Amino acid sequence: MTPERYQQIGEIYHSALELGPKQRVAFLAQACAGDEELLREVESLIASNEQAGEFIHAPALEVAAELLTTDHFDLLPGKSLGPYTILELLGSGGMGEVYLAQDSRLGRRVALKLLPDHFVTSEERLRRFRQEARAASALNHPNIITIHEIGETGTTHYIVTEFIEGETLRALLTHNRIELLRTLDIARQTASALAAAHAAGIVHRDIKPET
Amino acid sequence: MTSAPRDITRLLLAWNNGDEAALEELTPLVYAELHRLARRYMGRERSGHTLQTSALVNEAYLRLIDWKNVQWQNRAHFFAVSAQLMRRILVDFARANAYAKRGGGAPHLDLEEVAVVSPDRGTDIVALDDALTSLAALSPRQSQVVELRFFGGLSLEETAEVLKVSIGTVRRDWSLARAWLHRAVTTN
Repeated sequence: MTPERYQQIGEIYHSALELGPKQRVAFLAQACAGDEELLREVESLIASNEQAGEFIHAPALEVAAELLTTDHFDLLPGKSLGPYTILELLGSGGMGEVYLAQDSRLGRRVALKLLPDHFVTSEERLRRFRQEARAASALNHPNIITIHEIGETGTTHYIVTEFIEGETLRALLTHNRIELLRTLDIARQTASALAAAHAAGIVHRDIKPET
Repeated sequence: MTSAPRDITRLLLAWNNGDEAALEELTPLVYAELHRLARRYMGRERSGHTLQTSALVNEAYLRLIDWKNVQWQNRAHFFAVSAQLMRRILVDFARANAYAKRGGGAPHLDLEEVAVVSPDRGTDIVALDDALTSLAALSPRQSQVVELRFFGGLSLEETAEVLKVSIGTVRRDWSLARAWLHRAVTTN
């Protein structure tokens, strides 16, 4: 791409963002008439802008300092948190780290999720989290993970859920093409789970193939 | 450990004039501030502090980049150089952090401090740095807007002042650059 082309894309992008969704479609069709690639570029950047969320919102110094936050040191494999023994780190992201752990009382495997520091330092967020966990634990649906408990030791807050072995939809999509019937079934199960959650007054707010 | 703004100013000037050795002296000062910030995040709840994260971060930036004591030809130039420096040091830091997690040693860092932290965010800084370099080829100014704001910690107003453009222009540059960068780092 050339700087001139990028500038052209930028001008259409800014004009389009000032319009409502309906006008935008008409405007884009006209502004990119006969240039499919231009249209795709602008649309993809508009979509990216909408998905960007908190992206680069916090300055780099803050991101780097968070890398140093040492609250979670105890959670190396073999360490315990309450009755749970950590087995391995399953994944981590902006919403915390998830570990595979063994419940020593019941002898079963569970998924233990640590709440991130920025979460537990806000009383309001903690309160909302507890409230949602309470509401979610009342749900009984085959496509919704069962919450076993929420707990805290010191300043570490965690949530314990059933552990389900399997891959995320994102992983599935990366490796395979999914047949139409399977796709419909996944969509149906997802919608059914969300409907149950909505009925209980819970809004997911972060639906994506990973979750 | 506290950092001395005057020292930093002198070193920044030296670095800007091509003295790469100044970077060696600047890096530990930025790291010290990083550790201080990280400790304060963790200590906040225990000590009952209710300071906002952004206030802590702003304070950290101010301690590093204290323009009030700057005797430079101009404030704008000082900010631009500071942002470049922060980019260089923080990207190196994030890279070292990711490297340590893959089992290697981390220069300048205690191993135990980087032992178990989320790998995602650190990699983000490195990926962003690459994308930002690509963006600079398409729009040097947009790339600078992101460098000043994200790495330099500058506000919209300060960024406009440094680049000698209107706040509206900075806002537009930021919007498009952010969309472009977000797409670049998520589609890899």
